[in-house]
Amino acid sequence: MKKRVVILWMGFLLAASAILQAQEATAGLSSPSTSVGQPVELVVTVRDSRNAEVPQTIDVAGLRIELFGRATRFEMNNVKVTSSLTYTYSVVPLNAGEFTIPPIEVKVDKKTLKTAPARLSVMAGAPPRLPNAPSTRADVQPPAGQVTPYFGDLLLSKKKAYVGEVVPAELRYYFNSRISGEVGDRPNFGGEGFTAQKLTHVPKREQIVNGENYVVFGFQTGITPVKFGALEIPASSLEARLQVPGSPPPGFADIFQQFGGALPPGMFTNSRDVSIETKPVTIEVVSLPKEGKPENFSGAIGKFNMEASANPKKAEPGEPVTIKVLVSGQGNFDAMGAPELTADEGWRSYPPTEKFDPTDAIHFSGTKTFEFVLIAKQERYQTPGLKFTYLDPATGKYESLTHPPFVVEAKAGEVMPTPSPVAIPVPSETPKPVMSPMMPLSHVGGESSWMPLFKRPVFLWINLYVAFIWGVALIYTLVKKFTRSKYMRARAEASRVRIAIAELATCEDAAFYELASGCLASIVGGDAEMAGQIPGLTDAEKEVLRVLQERVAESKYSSKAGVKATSDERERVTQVLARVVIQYAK
Amino acid sequence: MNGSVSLRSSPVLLFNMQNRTTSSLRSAIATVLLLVAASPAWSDDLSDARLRASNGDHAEAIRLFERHLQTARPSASVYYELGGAAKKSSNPALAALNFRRALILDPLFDLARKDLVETNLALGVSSDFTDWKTGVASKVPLNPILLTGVVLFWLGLFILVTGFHSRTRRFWDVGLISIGAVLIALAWVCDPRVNLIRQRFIMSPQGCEVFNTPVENSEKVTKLPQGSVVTAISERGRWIYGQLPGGARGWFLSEGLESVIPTK
Repeated sequence: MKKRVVILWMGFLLAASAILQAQEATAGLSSPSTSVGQPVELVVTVRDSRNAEVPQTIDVAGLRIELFGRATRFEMNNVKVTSSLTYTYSVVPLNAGEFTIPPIEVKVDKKTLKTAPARLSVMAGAPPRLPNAPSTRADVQPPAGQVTPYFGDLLLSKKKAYVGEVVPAELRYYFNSRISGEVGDRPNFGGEGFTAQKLTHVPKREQIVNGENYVVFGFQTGITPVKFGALEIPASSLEARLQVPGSPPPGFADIFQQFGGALPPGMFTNSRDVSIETKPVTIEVVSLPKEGKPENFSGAIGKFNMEASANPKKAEPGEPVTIKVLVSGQGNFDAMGAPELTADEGWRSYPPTEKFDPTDAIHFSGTKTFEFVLIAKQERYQTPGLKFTYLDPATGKYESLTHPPFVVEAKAGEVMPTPSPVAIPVPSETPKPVMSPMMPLSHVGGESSWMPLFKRPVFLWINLYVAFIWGVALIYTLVKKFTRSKYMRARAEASRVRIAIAELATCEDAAFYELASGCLASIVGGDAEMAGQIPGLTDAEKEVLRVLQERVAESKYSSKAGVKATSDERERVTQVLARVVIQYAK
Repeated sequence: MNGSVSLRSSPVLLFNMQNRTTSSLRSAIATVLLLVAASPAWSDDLSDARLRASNGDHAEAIRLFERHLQTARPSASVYYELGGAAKKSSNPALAALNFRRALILDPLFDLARKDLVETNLALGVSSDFTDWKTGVASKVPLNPILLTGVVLFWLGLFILVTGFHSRTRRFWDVGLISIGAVLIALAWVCDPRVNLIRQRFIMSPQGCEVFNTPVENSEKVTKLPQGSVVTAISERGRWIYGQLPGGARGWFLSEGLESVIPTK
């Protein structure tokens, strides 16, 4: 009884699941690009259906598409039941070009489902493999033996490369379409001896490998070897959490066996964290060939084209002419240098500006634009030519792209609409770049230092010098004023009197009275007659002074010139004069 | 030889003179020669920068203008052109800073003032030209004022001295000294290179948060937008205590702030 209930319950779940599942049809190519004559597979998957009608052939001009296989899959993940039909078409390209396979109509029961259109790129000759083309089935070999639920692979566009060459690479992680799960954002990738561009994600796609349908997660990058020799690109791993087939609960399988059937695959799953690794790949790295290597080789390795233009065709004196050079193709754009200007006499050139517009995510293809600004030093009727040298890795030879000079009319001369504040004339042999008339007019004026004027050494030194002179003048003035003061005058008079009195002691007797009179006049400040009126003198002293005056008059006016003084008279007069000095000072 | 060196051995030794008097003179000549030799490089950078700016390569022009300013003497003209290139390359903060620097070097530079006002409008910050000192600086040339003041000041002092000498006191001495001192003080106070030395410009696009205390999780006073100017009063490590445009005061981190007057 209990078993029957379980069986009924399972039947109900299956029916409900079948109702709830949305039917859909998808189409996928085993490779998005190929070459003429190289077939690829187109797989149409119809989910949640056990029977469907698809066309036997699909009409696309340039392609022959025929159905050659059909498979049915029945999957059960825990209680989720999935059934799908897979129809495989062979797509044989007849012509080169871009093709769009139209939506394929799939009739399921009474409904008509349509797949999304698929694009196929067909090239002439050998099929390109990378970066645009995923590998063919033969490239991808999952481990031998039974069907592998997942595996990783590293695809390089070539196994031999030059140092500095960009080698496009793709990391692919294959997951059998029967399992589900979650994968990490990006794998860990890196190693020694090479640099790699940032990994870019390739849209998820389906691919058939050994008859099994796989979901492919791809990541593209560009590997640049930096040293020669054998270079091993190490394994890179991608983390994933997968729903892998698990074992049913004990006794569950017996229920199916009682009804003569086996447990459907995928009915029970377990969640498992796995790390999917690619295999290490070794490439041979060789150094750049020395033969034919130009001296000014810019380091470009790849296959390139060059286009150029010059503007304006007529340039006024000082007006720049711009040469725009477009280098396009595939190669190491990030490391390449600018083209070389040839026959640039008479022109002043500036280092060119660079701009790169990639057309893929790994910067392997694209167009690099160089802009040279030239100013004519002499009158010129053509620009310099252009030369770009690169190494073609396919041939191992250096190739040169050249462009002839452009015809222009450039006048020589300098235009200085407004003198620049720092413009300094230089000799005519090395003319400096001149301003074009379009340049903004310079402002003249303002300071040329962040230091205020009064803090500048020149200002401070000048003021210090002036201050020194002023100080000297001040000292001179003060000294002069001091020397003319009453005190200093009195001191000078006193000094003179002292000297005069000292002279009295040693002078001739005949000259004594005259000298004594002069000394007295000095003491009293001019008029010796006034000496008698000095207070504090005794009558005797006044009498000595009066006699002194008489002797002087006598010497002066009598015929007997030079009245001689006795030694007593000399002593008396000297003593009185000393007294007069003291009294007068009081 | 006893220390004497042959002048032929090296051109550098040309300046290794024993006579101190002549060595100073030769050092001065060498400096002038070096400056003359270096000047074409400045000129080349400046010319290149102007060429790039005229051709629309503003990013490269900015780089070249900045390189020129690192080695050459500052110029209001070059700062203005750098500001113009920054403005055209959609970098209004850099433009505003350099227009400010142009105005500091030449407060009479009306074009720079007009562009600064426009850039400030784009940044959403006010243009702070209401200060009387800024008003004076924008109307009168400060260096002539300073020089006039200095001349009058010294003239007055010399007259004062000669007055002592000749005993003839004149009205002029004290009057000239006073007028000179006032003019010197005016030029000193109004010179933007003096009164804006502590200004900091907010370059960070996120603006600048102002705190009550120098602690990052303390209460925030306000947040100033990019292009605002604050005045530093004191500094404590990474923290600056300063005055905000409205007059309020607070602490802010020095990261993302640029001295309005370059400190190099």
